[in-house]
Order: sequence, then C-alpha cells, then structure tokens
Amino acid sequence: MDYHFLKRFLLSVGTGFIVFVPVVLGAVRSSENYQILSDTFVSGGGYSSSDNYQLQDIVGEGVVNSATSTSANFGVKSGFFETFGETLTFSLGASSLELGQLDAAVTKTGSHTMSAATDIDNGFNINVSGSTLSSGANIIDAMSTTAASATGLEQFGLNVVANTSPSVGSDPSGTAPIGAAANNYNTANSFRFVSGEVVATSTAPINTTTFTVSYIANIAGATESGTYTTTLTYTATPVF
Amino acid sequence: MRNWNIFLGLAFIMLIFWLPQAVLAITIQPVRAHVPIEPGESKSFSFNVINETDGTLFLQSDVKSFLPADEFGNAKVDYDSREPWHDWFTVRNPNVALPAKQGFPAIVDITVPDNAAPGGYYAAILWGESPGAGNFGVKGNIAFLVMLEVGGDLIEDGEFVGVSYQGSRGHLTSFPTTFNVHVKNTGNTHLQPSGNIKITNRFNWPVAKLHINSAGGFILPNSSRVFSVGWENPLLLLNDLATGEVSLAQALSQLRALFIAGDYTATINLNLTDAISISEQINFKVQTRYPYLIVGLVVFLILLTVKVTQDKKRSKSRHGK
Repeated sequence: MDYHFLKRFLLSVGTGFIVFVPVVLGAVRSSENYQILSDTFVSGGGYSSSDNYQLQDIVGEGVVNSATSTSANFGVKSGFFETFGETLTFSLGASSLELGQLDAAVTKTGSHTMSAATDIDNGFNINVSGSTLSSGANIIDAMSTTAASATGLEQFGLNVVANTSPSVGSDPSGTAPIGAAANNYNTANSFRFVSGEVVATSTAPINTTTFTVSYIANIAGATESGTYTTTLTYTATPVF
Repeated sequence: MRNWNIFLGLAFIMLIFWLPQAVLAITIQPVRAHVPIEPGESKSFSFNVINETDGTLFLQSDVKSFLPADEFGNAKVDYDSREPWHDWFTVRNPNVALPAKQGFPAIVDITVPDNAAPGGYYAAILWGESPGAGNFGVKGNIAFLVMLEVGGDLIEDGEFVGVSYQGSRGHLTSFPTTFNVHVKNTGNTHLQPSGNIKITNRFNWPVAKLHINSAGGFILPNSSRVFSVGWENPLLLLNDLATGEVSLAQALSQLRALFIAGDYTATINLNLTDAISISEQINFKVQTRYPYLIVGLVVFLILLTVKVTQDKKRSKSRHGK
C-alpha cells in the first residue's frame, strides 16, 4: 500500500474527528486525577455594581441572591466560572420528523433522541407538551391510555423504549447511573400520548443518558385526508 | 491529485453526516432559586446558560408557570396559561445568539407590585430554540425553576398524611426498604420540611436514624409530596456513632435488625416550618429474608466444630502410637 496515501488518509480522518465530533454533553471534564466541574470560553465581561459591591466579571460569571457574598441586589461566588453544585444538561437530537404518508394498513413510525445529565440530588424529568396530529379541525386520536399499535385505528402515541411491534426505538442508554423512561412510556410495544406527562426521569444524579423517543401513527379507513401537523415540546425540568 | 481532493472531500462529508449531531444542547447552572421578596420590591438574579453544541444556538426565553406533575417533586410547565404575574419577570436578553461552547449569565429582573397578594408564585424560566420546519416539529426547552415568595400574610401550614413502607401484611420482608412519608401543604407558600425517622426495637433500642428530605425538596401550596427514605445500610449509623449519638452496641443492633425478625417502631419527626413540627409513630414487624444465612452459618459452625474435633482426635491417636 502507498505509505503516503495511508498517511494522508489517516490525517484527514483524524482532522475530521477533531473538527466535527460533537463534544461530550455536560460541562464536567475529568481525567484520572482531576475533575473540572465547569468551564467556559470567555469573550467578554464587564462591571456589575450595587450599593455595596462592585464586581468585574467575565461572561459566564452570574450572580444570584443565594451566593456567598450578597448585598441588596448582587451576590458573588468567587472564582473563574462559579459552581453552584447543581447543573442540568439537556439536548435534543432533531428539530423535526417525517412520518411520511399515513396509511390505514401500515403503522408509520419515527424517532429521535434526546440526552440529559444532571448532578441534582433529587434528579429531573423530561415532560412532553403539545397536541396530537391535526389537519384543520380533523385530528388523529391521541392515545390517552397506554395501548399497542393497531392498524386501521386512529392512533398517535409514543414511548421511550425499544419496540418490536413495530420495530422502532431503543432503551435508555449510557454509563450507569442513568435515567429511565417514565411510567406509561416504559413498556415495549405500548404507546401513549398525554400532553404534560413525564416521559423520562431520574430521582438522583445521572451520567449522560440517551433517550430515544419513538412515535407511531395509525389511521382508519375513514380518516379525513389532509396534511396533518403537530409540534411537540420536550422540557427538561429539575425536581423542585 | 484531483482524485485525492475528491477523496478527502468525501471523507469529510461522510464524517459530518455519519456522526450524530445534537440540534440543541444546553446546560443551566444552578437549576432553581428560592426568592423571598416583598410587595413593591425589585430583585435580580441570574443563572448560567451554556451552549454545549459545536454551533451557534439561537435561544429564546419565556416565562411560564410550573405545577407539581406528581407527588415526588417532578414539575411540569403549564404552557397553556398566561398569568398576570408572569409580567413581574423580565429576562434582560430574551433572544440570544450563543456561540459554540460559550455561556452567559441569564439575568432575570423581578418587580413585584405593591398590591401583590402574599404567597408563593412558581415560575419556570425557559430557554430553547424554535422547532424545525416541517409537518412534525420538535422543540426542546430547559427550565430554571423560581419559587417566588411574596411576603405579607404568609400561611405556612401542613399536615402529615401518613407513612407507608414496602412489605406486605404489616411485615417488612426485605432490605433495603423504603419508607414513604406523605405530607400535605395546606398553606399559601412552599414548605421545605426536614426531619428524621428513628427506628427502635422492642426494647426501645434505636436501630436506625434516617433523614427525611436530605436533598432539600419543596412542597408547593395545595399539593402533597411523598419523601422516600431508604433504610438500607447499617453504615448510615456510623456518623451518629462518631458523634456519640448512639453507642457501638446500638449501631450494631441495626445489623441485627437486618437478620432478626421482631417488632419495631418507627417514629417520624418532621419539621414542616420553624414553628410546626409533627411526630408520628408506626409499628411494624420485620420478617427477615435472611434465615438461610443464619441457618447456613449455624450449619457451617457445626461442620467446622466436627472437623476440628476429628482432627484433634486423629492427632492424638498419632501421637499415642
């Protein structure tokens, strides 16, 4: 094999990884001996002042009422990018989906990932809000009770685990401890959609957990034709 | 050379599309704030918002109410309602183009009008991006929770609903187990109870002391919350042992509780506020799941004794010869 060819190939692939590989989610960087709980790149700053304090800060150094040193309006925890002990990281793997043309004889599926990590003692949850698929006044029935996918019925639902019927989705994954799919959304081949419900959760700090949200859509023969649309909002919320 | 350029270009394109890319990835720090404030007063606070992606995020902020989603402290954002008190909150820069890997302090100003009713107000400061184009949009938000307490005639009150534990027919059958302490907030502001569960045996000897709500969770008004307390590790008593709160013998008795069936009493001491404390007792039985360990230990000791005895006899007979 041409040595120079191999060298250039490896160089190009390596450069590609450095440039394009997404950085691991979460602000915690660690090695065998050290852990930096949070870090940042800084490109600005300024003076913040109140009656009793003046702070020359950098972008990323916030102030809260519960900080170590406080006055009427400001507080400060010293250090380069203060750490308050509780962080929540949330990411979404897609901003849109395509279910294709719905068919009374075939279940249409789609999925996307979302990830979360936290060091909150009580954990966090992800809940879903929004409406079922609709086209003007016509809707596809949301699965308000947990049920299996059935062609020929109007159904719109989701879950957060691996399924075989239909084959879609994955179980939550990551390096333990990880989060879990919430009740009602954690049974394979059972789907549901109720706006406002929790779909993923943890009750303790977790490492980055990848959740796969899987959707199914079925229609009946009598379902009105049209372009059905929806927008769902996933909100990561700390336990209070 | 031209082939080389094509090859390198394809390699880069493959890498871009092959590797998963998050469209939104945000960290907030901290995640919640308890803000006491008086009518007519203004305050500001901030929290850090960090873009974890490799590209610029165009973030938008919004203020909504949050509600208890269940009895375990999970919150849900009420996207459907718009309350007049949401206008008390102003996010200074509600639309931000945040470059890759950078953070900024999201500063929130709160101005409470003079005529604001006292009590708790529960706001979620949301940060997220717009959903993508298409028939099926998906949007992500991350929520910073604000527990705003407007001073005045605050009613801090609550009641103990009950306690349950894993087991059947009044028996604890396995360890670790969990006590679920159920408390209701009947006041008009949030409570942050704390307390402990002391477990004593039939001789009134303490065998365990378990902390309730060690994570500092809140109960919102007109809602109840279950605080789960695990009883799992006798080492939990080591701290009390070190401070002299319990003796070595008492600490060891929890080990006994892991193996020995019997009657036990759990005393729940809960401070709902500085002024309101609750004390409740429940009795329960421990039906150990480890009898096989005890039986096994006894059998092992018997076999060991027999073996040692036989060895001694053989040794004596050899020396006799």
